[in-house]
Amino acid sequence: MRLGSARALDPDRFSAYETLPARVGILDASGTLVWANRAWRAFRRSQGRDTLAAVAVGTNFIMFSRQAGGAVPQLIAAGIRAVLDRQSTGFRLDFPLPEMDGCRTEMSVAPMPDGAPGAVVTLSDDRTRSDPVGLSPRSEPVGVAIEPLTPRELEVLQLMARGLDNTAIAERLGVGYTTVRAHVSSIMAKLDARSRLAAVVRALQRGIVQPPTTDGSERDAERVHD
Amino acid sequence: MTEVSLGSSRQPVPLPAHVAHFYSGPDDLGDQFAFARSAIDDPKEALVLFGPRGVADALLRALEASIGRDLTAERAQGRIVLAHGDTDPDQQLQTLLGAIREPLSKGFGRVRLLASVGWDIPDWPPPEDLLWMESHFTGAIAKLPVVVVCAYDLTRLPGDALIYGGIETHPLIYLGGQLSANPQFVEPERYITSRLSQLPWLRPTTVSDRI
Repeated sequence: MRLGSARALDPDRFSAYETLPARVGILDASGTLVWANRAWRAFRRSQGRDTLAAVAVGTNFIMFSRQAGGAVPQLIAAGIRAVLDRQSTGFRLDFPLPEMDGCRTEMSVAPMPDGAPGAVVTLSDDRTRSDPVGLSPRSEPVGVAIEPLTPRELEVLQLMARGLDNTAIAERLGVGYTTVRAHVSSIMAKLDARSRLAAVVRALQRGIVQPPTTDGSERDAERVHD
Repeated sequence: MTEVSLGSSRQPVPLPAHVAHFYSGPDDLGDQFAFARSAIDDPKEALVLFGPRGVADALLRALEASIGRDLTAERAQGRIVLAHGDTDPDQQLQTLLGAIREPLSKGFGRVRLLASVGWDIPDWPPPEDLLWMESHFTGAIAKLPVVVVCAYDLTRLPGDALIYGGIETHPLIYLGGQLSANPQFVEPERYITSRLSQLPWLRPTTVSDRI
């Protein structure tokens, strides 16, 4: 997890939060997350993509809010801003996370103790009202797609990761352009990716494909065929 | 080296070229009209207008209004080609290349392509895929006699589009009437294999944490 500047921040000051099961994060006056407890750090590491839970604060939260639509993300962002600006003494919100199989999260945002600038964000999941076997979509182990990829799809995915376009992939594999296009669509669906690049990034994160080499050995093949 | 002129100031630009043009909303289209008008005035040139669905038609109407005449004849001759984007970035790339090759196959010597850039909108590639396509495009036109101007509206597009798209994927920048080599340009090979996977909204555990 990348945190904002922690200058003038005494980590011991927040040690009481460290072992809490709830996720606790400290925002500075600008809204930058400058400290997070063990639960928050572990949760963020477990996420393979941006979800409302994973990006409860951050620029990605704003991006997610814009893409996801709905009032909850915007309300949360506005509420946090109000606390940081001292226009609110804090708030508590219980809301469902549709991308997490009905799981609900309780979120509280309070001003920093002692009148210091910033805020304390606490997130606590409640799975009791959700499907008892419901798991985060990101809980699958590294190296496993939601649905297994075929050997040919793996070949296509590896070439996608090297930056090749469909024409170049088709030439490399000796198949037709439309065949490659169908493989790309299937790969995106199996990896639950909204875009070509998201599929590549997700595959790299799960170890399904290897990162492209940087020694130039594939350089000619990676050029676009026009 | 073959050159054509760009913008109201008629600055020379080499062929081929992939230029990011930053402009300030609908009242700041003068340079785009000048770029397009040059193609209309030169019988050896053709013009491609490209953008999200419906935008190329709107651009054509605005261009007709700016020059004060109908361009139906030029369209019928294949001197003006209209094309629109696709959610599939590879298809969008093929569409663009096809739109460039079409007038070349009819004997026109050069093509000017004016593309209106969209971001995170329907019927258009998702942002990261648009960047993938933009980065590919510089190499894709390397052997074609074309000047591509990608128009980035400073009043409408978010910072991500301007920085990761406009600035990092174009070798040349046209801003404030000046054409410049772009020191922030990231070579396509490095951009595709390294930069794209580091886009902030694709990083799962290293996202920035600013509200």
